Amino acid sequence: MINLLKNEITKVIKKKSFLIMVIVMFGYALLTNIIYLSLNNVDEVEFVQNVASTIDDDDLDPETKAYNEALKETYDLAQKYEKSSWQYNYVITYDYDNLETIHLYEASQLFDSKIYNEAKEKHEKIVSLLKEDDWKSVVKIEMDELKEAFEEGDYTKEEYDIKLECLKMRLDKNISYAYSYQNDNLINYEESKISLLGYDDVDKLQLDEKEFYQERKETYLTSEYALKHNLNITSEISLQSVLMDFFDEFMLMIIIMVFMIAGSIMSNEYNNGTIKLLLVRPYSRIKVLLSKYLTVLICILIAILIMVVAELLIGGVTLGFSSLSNPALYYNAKLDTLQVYNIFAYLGLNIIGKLPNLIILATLVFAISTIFANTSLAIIMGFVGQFVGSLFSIFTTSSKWWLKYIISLNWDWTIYLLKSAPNIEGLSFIFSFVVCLVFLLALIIPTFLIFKHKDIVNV
Amino acid sequence: MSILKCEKLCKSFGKKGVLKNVTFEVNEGDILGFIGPNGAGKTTTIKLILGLQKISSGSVTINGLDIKKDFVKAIERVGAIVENPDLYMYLTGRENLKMIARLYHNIDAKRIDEVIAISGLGNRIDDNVSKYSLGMRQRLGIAAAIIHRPNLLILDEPTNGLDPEGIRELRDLLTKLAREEKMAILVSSHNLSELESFCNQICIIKNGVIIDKTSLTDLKKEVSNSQYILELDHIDGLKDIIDYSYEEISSTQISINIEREKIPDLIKTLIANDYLLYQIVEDKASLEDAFLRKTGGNIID
Repeated sequence: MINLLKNEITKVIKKKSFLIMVIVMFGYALLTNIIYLSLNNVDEVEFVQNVASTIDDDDLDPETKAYNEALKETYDLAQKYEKSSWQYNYVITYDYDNLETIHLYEASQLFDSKIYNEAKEKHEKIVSLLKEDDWKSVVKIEMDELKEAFEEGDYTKEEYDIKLECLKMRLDKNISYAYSYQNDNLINYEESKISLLGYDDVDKLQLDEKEFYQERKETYLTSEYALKHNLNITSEISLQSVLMDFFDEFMLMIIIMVFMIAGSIMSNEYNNGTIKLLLVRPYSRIKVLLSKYLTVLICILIAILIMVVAELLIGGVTLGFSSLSNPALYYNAKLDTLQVYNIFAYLGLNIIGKLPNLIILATLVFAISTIFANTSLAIIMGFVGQFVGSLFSIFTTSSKWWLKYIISLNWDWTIYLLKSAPNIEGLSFIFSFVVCLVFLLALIIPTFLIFKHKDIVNV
Repeated sequence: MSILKCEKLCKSFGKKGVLKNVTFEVNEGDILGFIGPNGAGKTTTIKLILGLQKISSGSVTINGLDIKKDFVKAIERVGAIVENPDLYMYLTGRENLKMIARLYHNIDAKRIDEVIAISGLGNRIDDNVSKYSLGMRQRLGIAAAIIHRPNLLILDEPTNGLDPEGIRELRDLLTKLAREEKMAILVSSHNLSELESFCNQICIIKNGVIIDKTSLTDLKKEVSNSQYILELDHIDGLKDIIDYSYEEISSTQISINIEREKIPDLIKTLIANDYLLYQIVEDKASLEDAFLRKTGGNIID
């Protein structure tokens, strides 16, 4: 039996199509990573460019004109500094508010207003601090302003505490206003933490409210973790982030490879007549077929392995290996907590979780290939299976009682491995396991029975 | 000792019966020529023997083991080529042999080299099979069929694609295997004249029915219609001295219908009349004709 298996694997690997497919997989990984690399080089905020296009038009009403002028001044001020500097980012994100106030009040001739004078004063201070390149003093100004606003009753105690916490964190952790991952995290942290105030009983929320809440919570937990552990992720797309979404990116390639092998392993023997050579050996037909089926299962692992290696090598060279030390953060909606994994552990769980999907589809293709001796039919039916299966993923709630019996809603076990909950009610790991097993047996048993009694006729 | 025994083999696809009560035996050291026109059921019979198709009724016994009940043990000492020498085209000849060797216990590297020598492929053994000619594939197929030292060898149309030299080598190899290794060999063909030089038993099948089982010498006698070709220096005036009817083939050759026992007398008469007799041979073409008359061609229905 081991020897049969060895032969089958030899036959698969020595085929030219296998080599070609490996090359295609590496090529696909290369292409994907080059695209990511060029995406990373695109400038982050192109807000100011839109500002530049707003023209001073004399026909505009005074208010719109004031807005345009505020934008124009913001743009001119920001342009004095490098795009990557804290000054640039601060001006377009924060100082714009001051300029807007100034221009609006000037347009209305309200030069005596307290708000106007405060904004003007603050803007002038900031302009000088921009020149001195002293962002820490800017933070102090923000703190003073925050305190004043709180005393005037603009913020609740909770909101004030959060905002103050963030400003302090900026100083403590030395996060300047320059565009960076940490700066983003700080902003996300503040926003999401404030928006999470006031949720008492999460379980009572409506579905869409709950989704909104979960989104906020995920942002909050992720940014909190990143700040706490000083994660230094320089760009949005890294090797780590690609590996986290490994199956979104590369499932298709793995499926093609697996289908190619599962779809031809039996039908090729029929079509080339070598089936006769294979069946006059001292092994029962069941063993012959089993060795082929096991080969298909092994090839699933081989296909995943090749794809992982391709992405690791090519992604590492193009995007850099350093991001691999970053942990994979996963928000568990069911437990409402953040789970932290080593990136390889996370990838491993994802691979195991996707195996039932791949095994069932490969078995379907293998069964058709064995019964009908037709490679193209088998491969096409495999893709139909995957496509029809993915149609059902649009159901996010259990609106129909039969939904939970649909195989494609049961064959992704990632969610169970990450201890999270499926969208469809009534699904559990045991239930999915049984559904997958029943489906698998329904494919395998007839295939083996048919093959056992099949007459080998002329081809 | 009987190695292969087929008893009342029947095979039908749906309602259509393709084999009816096929019964024959192959003993050790025998080479059985399994002869019949295309579509007579030769390949089907071989497939039933090898368990490639289900037997509708009847039984196949190899080395005393029933193929239906004891397939794995029964097939262990069988080597076979069915229809074509089917090999993995994208592998080399040696890789093909190695894969087969892996499936048996008793094959070492030395044995692989031995059969490579038998196949006569030499250096070409490390080329991909896709680059082989049909004849080379046939040789590799035979090497693959005997690699595990079977005591029953079944070859379906092994002479296809072989040149006369190849056929002679095949004949030598098979007679050697039968004589020295006491192998029982079943060779199918639609061509009697290719097999007659080395088969000692003949089994003729037509429309799924065995119509004759006999030794080759008996068959020859049976189908012989006493047609001989004579070559003389001239044939003028032959009519006056010979009582038999004959046909003129050319100015020096005639085809004559005569019983074998009467030939010496005919020669004496010719010599007495000063004819120069160069040769007298049995008409082979007519042996084939007679065989065809016997099988009457095959009606494929």
